[in-house]
Amino acid sequence: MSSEKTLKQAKPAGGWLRGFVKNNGAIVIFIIIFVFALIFIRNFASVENMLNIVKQAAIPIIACIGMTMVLMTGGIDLSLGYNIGFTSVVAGLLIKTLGVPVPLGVIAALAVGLAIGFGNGLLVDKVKVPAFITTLGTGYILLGAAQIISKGETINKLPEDFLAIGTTPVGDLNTTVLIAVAVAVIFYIVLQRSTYGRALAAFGYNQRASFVSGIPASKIHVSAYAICGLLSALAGVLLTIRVNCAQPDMGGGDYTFQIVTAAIVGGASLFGGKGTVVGSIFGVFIIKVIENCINLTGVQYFLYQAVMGIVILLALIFECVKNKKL
Amino acid sequence: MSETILEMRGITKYIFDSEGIALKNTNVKILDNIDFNLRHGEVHVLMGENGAGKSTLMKILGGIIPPDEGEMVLEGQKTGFKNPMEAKAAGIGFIHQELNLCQNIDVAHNMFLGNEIMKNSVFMDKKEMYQRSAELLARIGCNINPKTIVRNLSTAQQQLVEIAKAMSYHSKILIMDEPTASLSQNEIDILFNLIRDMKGKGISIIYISHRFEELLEIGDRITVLRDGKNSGNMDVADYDYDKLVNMMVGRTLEKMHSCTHIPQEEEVLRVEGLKISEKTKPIHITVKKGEIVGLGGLVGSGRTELAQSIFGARRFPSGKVYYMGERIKKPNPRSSVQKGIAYLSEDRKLDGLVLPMDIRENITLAYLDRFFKNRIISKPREREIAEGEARELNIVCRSIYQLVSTLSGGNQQKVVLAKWLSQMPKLLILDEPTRGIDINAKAEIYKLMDEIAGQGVAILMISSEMPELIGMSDRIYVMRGGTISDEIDKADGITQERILQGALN
Repeated sequence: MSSEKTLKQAKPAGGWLRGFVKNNGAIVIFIIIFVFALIFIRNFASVENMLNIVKQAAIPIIACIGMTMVLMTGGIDLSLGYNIGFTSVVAGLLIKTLGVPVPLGVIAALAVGLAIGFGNGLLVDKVKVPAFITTLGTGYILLGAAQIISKGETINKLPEDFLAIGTTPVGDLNTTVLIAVAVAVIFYIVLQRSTYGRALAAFGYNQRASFVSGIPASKIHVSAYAICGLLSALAGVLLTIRVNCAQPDMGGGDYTFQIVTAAIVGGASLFGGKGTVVGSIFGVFIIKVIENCINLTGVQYFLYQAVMGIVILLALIFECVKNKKL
Repeated sequence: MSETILEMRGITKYIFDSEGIALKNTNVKILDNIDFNLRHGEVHVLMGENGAGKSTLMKILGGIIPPDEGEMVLEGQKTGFKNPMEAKAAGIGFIHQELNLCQNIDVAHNMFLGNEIMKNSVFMDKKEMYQRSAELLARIGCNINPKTIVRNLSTAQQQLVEIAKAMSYHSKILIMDEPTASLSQNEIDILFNLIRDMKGKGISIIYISHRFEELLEIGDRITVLRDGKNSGNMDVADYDYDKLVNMMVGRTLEKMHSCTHIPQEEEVLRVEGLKISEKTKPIHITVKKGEIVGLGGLVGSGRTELAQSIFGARRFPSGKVYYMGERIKKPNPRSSVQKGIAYLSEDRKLDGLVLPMDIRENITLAYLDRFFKNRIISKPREREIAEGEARELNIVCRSIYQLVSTLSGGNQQKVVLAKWLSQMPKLLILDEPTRGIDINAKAEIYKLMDEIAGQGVAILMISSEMPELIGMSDRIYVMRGGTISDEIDKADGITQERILQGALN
């Protein structure tokens, strides 16, 4: 029975350290991996490398917060990576090919992402198709649509004022990092401090009980997907700026997998309810540090994919074990 | 004929806590020292209110749960079953109230599920399985094609398949848990013929039923359980209605229901012509300010459906709901909660509590918008609200940060109540408010109900417990078959017999 499972989770945590490990698994794992990397990986400890990791983590953190919100509802958004590719092409076409003013183009791309997420949410909530299938379906539609509207070509040499949105230096970092920080702060408040975040978690843990308690369950459900779509589009735009090129196969399935991995490593549960912004951030950092180590040691890139597989399995095992033992 | 095949002596089952550990030093027991015997080739009817312990006793016989104390003697041999397979092997067939067939596979595969006939010990011998199934079905006089997918069978046909399946284990004893609950009269006749037939072959049948007319038609003997005790036996030949009803309900009402609230005149809820499904008859009820209205009837009579329809947690085909004189067009939980209607559900773990959350989060859940107008949760304020409610309702806990999954049933129920009472509702719908909670928590909840009714809250209470229903209600509606079958006012004298009559006949 489900009540027995939760009962075990609820055993009083003995000691401060145990409680910290239980609630902040991602931070603990990050510290362990980080210390190992400092000791064993040459060139890892340079300031330049650290800044590099932060810059690389910024965009995935934005996407991961969106994914975490969907995971909190008990669903998943497998269209996230394809949403990035589609909105990249939309932004590129509007701004470069059609010459639409930059702010308008960006807003349009974000609106498209929002609409895609909204559509996902409606399908999952109203038609009650499992999220896994719905978002895989819409994801492939987006991939196809992106190829069609871009005619399979990439759009490069984007306007300077567009690139400036994400590449303007801020100290040793750039505006992309600043935007990610802003998103993290806003969603920290939304998820951890607001009534919306509480309702979202309650919905994820027990849809029926939250519905009966008068929580606008459907609205919450759909909104999580819509926000995930919006944040995916923001990631799409920033990624386009980062590589100075709009292309339909940007993002994609691998990217989605990486983000899901980060979210799970960050403590979100595939069964809903759990998930935090701090967890999402450290989940992404864990993955980026591992990626960085693989790059620095110069082993085969394909090893990276295998390692990601191992990481997500370990994260899931860790979650099960900690619920039982801690 | 009169030779005893089975004897159960001193069967006792204690209530247990959430971790399954028996609580031996409480007065409440699920089964209390029950003696039960069954003769060769008889139909023994087992009766009693919901929660009297019939199903638990049968589960012990069927090897599904072990007894804490007591012994079973089967055909002169002391016996005990560790699991349902052992019971089956000993010749005890169990036909559950909810049918246990796999809907997506055919009849033959269901009949040999987990017991498939093998060819070369690798492959299923389908031919043999179809043939044997057809034989087994024919033996009970039923000509269902064993290749039919179970989904396509009627409920009655599925029941026949279950019986044939039970017979395939050469059952000597067959337990039937309310087999006619979902059958038509025609199907019941077929079933009864089959039962007579099996009886003739010397098979003993334990037949659980609520229906008086059935026991007269098919039964040989009756045993009545009440509050986990054997409250008497009767031969059907000596049947006496009054005596039987007395056996079922004859307990003393306790003082814990003393009420001081006085119902007012103003109507809070009026339901006009509400049908809980297309096929059932329309329902009319009213609840007044400061009045506790009981909703009695058996499980499955439509009480929960009515409550959920009013609250909006469930759709209904037609009817009007008026609240404070205004019609609520399409009730839904959100608007109901905002208007001041609260619904304490029947199953607190399913839709009352968010188990992985703590007491505080559960208490503030329903009125988050009202407590935190700017939508940001203030931790000190939330703590204040939750601690206030926890104190008010005497919730026993380490702190308000304790997860509700670790609380006892009574305290969990108080958390759900605290959630709804943190903003005083105008209409409180309670669905089995004291189910599965200990006697002290019960008394506290009764006192609380009386208090808030005194403050003018209208209460609609569903209950399967007679003393609670009679002790707390100013007025009672009895439901049967999806509609109201009787309305009893306190002034006219509410009796258990009258409620039972409304619920059964």
